[in-house]
Amino acid sequence: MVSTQSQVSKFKKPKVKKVAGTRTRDVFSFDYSFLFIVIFIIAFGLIMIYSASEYSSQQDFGNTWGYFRKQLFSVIIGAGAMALAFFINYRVYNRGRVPWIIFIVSLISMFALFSPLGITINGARRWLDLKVTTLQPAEFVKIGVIILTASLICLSTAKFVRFKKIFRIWVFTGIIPAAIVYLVSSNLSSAIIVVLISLLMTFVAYSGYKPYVFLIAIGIVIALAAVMYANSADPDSGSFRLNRIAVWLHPEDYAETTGYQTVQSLYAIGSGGFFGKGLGRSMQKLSFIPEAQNDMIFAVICEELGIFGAILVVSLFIFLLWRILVIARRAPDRFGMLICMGVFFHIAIQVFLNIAVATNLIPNTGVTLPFISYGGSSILFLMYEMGMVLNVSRQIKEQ
Amino acid sequence: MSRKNDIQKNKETMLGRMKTKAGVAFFVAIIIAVILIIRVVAINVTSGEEYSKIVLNHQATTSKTITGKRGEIRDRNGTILAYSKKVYNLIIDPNRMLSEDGKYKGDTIEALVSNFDIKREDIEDKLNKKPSSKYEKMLTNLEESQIEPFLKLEEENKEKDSEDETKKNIAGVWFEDSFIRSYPFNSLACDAIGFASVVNGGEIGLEIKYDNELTGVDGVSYTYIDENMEMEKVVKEPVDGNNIITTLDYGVQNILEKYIKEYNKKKPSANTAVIAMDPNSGEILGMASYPFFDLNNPRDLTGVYKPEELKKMNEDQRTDTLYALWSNFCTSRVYEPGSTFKSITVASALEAAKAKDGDRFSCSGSKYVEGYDVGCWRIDRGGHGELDLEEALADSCNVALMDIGLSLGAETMVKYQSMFGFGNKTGIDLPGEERGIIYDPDNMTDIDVATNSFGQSINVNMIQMVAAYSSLINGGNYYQPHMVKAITDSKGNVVKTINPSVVRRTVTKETSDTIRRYLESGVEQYAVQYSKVEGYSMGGKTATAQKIPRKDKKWLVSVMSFAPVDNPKILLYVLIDEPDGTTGGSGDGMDSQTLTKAIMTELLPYLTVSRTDDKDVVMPEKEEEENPDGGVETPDNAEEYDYEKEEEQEIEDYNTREETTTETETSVEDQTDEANNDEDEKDIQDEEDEEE
Repeated sequence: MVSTQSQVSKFKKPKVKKVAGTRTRDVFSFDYSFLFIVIFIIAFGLIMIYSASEYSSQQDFGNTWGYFRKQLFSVIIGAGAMALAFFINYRVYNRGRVPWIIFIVSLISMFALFSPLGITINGARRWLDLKVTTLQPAEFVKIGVIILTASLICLSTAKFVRFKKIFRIWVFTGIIPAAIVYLVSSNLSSAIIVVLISLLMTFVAYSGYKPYVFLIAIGIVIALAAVMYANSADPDSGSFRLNRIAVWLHPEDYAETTGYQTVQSLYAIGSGGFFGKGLGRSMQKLSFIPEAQNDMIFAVICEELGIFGAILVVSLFIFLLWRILVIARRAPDRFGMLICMGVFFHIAIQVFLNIAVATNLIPNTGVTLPFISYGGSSILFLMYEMGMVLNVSRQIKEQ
Repeated sequence: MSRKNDIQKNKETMLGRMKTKAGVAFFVAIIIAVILIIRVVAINVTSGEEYSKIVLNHQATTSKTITGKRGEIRDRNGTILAYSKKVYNLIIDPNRMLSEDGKYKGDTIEALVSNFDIKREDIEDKLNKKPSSKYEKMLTNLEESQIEPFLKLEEENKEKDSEDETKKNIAGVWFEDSFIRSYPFNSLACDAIGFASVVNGGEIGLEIKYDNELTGVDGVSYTYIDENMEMEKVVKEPVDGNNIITTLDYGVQNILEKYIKEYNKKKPSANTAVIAMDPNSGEILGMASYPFFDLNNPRDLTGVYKPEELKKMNEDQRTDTLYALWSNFCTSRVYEPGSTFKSITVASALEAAKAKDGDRFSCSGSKYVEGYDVGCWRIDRGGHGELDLEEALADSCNVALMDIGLSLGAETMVKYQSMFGFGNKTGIDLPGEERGIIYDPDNMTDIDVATNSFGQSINVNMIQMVAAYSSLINGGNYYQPHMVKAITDSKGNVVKTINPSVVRRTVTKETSDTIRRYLESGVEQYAVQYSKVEGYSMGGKTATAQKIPRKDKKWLVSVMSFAPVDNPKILLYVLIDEPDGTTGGSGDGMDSQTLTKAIMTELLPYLTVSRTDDKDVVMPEKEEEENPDGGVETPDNAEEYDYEKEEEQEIEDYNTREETTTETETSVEDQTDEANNDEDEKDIQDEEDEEE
């Protein structure tokens, strides 16, 4: 497949757009495997949303396809977004003040939550009401962060980027927007994702490993300290975050309260067996797992499709990441590569965090499974990112 | 130019490095993915079985309890004394009512408001506050007739075509079954029947004693998901509780309570308790313990106390008052029986061959026991003089009884007391029976024996007394006193029959015959004559016991009577605790006799006891009318001892000597109360005048 596109791109010239024939070829010269795997995952996600939301749809819409229909609608919009990104030359994002504009607009959209457009659902102010649909500006911020981080890194012309500079970029494009996301919408998981995307992008750009190994070591120490503290502290007196850790360590002790979602998720995963109960036959989705079509959809997949389903899902994402990696490594320039790696990390972080939460490897934090969990804004921006990666893949030159 | 080349070169270098780093990132991603897969496998391997079971339990998704109906309590003739009535709770389902763009909301609210006593605002408030709720209780305890119009309306509209303009869209309303306990005769036999609450089931009386029988087995309706993910509904019907057929007779009970109320209206007493028993089976025909309360509203004190009295009470006092009100005097209170106990002593002596019919005694008005002069009620007239055993019992001579008691001795006396069931629970099927207190013969001195012989310094309950007396007059069979004849299931099939059971034999037929004759003599010639109903042969014994502490001068008067003498059909025990107590006056033994007579006058014809009109009624001589209860009269020249009207008073001398302070036996007697004695004598004089 790679060779096919290489053959096509052989004919590509800087000003091909003016030639009708080459332009047609140009449109079709992209990574088909990548597009195929994206479509496959989205289709699989739709099926799983239908299955997982069947019961809650019945409750909330009076029919079994309520959530499915809404998600399908989002996917169609997302396809449009993907097509748009597909046709926008990725270099545009790095031109002049464009990365700054995107970044700042995305942050402004966060503050728009304070305006009358902001809606609060279940006590969390995270959505913007755009009349036609609702949007989570935090998803927009993720794209803004990817673009600005890539752009700032590309400013460097030195042989080795100094860590001080890299660190400043991370603070500016990771910590600050994450703080805004967290303070405005109390959305810890989105904030963590923003910090990590930016951090891992700087990791790719930096020449060495030491500071990152050091960071990981600090992270492990802090995690251990938190665990020890949570174990010794009285669970009732602890703060909300500490309580989360206590629930994580002993979810069964909180099975009726804060640990309910985790415990029900584990029941679902554990009861699946190797091949699962069969598609659509999850028992846990019947109101036991809260919002089964959302954060905990992986548990439903494990229950219905078993370990086999889990391997399938993880493999699909690994394949997707591999295709992004291939495109990134062949990208014509650093910006294209960093855009791809930003998307790569965005997907990888969310997939791993989501599955780790569902299997109780880490404390419960609401992260959606990309393309599969229910949620319009998530799929919309993700598909735009896919379009960006596809655009990069169009511009790969034969080496 | 070279600088530009350098920059380009640097960029290339950096790109190359980044490619390596991206590869590292992907490698790490694969490792994490493998860890996650291992985790999923590990969960399945370690906890798969356990979790599968838990999830399997989730298959039964919803379950709803269907309450079984509590059984009925009926009297011996089938009259319903307590039953459970099916009622309905109005439940709304806001989620459903607001579904389908609220097409049901308007019509449903309209239908609810027009059919029930419910405010539009209340419904809308619920819909606004809990729009996703599926269960909101709006009204409770609706009768079937109240919900019928609504159900009909709903049904009619269901049949209509959706195009029909008049169709009302009603949805999201349903009725939940519930039961309330109802007592058709309100306060009738309140202490015996008791009441039940929704939360605890039976609370007191038969309701709690037979709670297990009366309580039904709850059914359940649950939905579960079958293999094909289809909802299946399974209903396990509830089993209604069993019915209790009591030995109570509505007619008897009604007569008892009618006269108790009548009496207490004129002269309120602290307690007035009456038991009517069939002496040949131990079945309780009637049992009443005044003050009464409404079983349909057991926590309401307004019927018993005046509003201003209620206002003064704090919460604890209210609770105490309620418990006192609910306590059944007939089983749960012990007291010193007084002279009615003399029959037990005489029967014991006859059985133990320490006395025989015709034995003669001499009464000089008092007897010297262990340093104390214990008096007889006729002490002021020099005692009974020479008398035989019959007169000793019929005319209630303390001296003769003390002679008999002392000849029995402590051991034999207590042995017979135990045999008659004193000091132990009778085991009647009512909750909270008290066992009473009798002596341990080893700790019993002569003065104890002497006072025990006429029913003092011994504690009994009413059921013990009637059960013992039944055996005395029925030929010696001590029947287990009981309240329930049979238990049937909800359809009326008999599940269990409770037959009269003879626990033991107490006396021989001869002794029984003798005692009956003596007690008849008491009614015909002596102290009990005011209980006599003309035209019937009756036996009986009275008692006027002074309550402890003696200085309070409170009395507990009672009459044990039965009819007909030869083959007793009914044994009636009337007890008035603190007669006229609320006005602070002294006890009046006459009250128990007049109440007995009033009850017997209506009760005997009701029970079709055969009349003996031809029988001559010998009126007793006047002098014996003076002290109808056979108590001790106060001597004018009391020096060593202060004789109250009440015979029990002697015990205090003994107590003073012993310096014991046990609650049931001890009292510190105050000094001679001349005024009180004068008053007592005046009362007796008044009665004499009335008689004339």
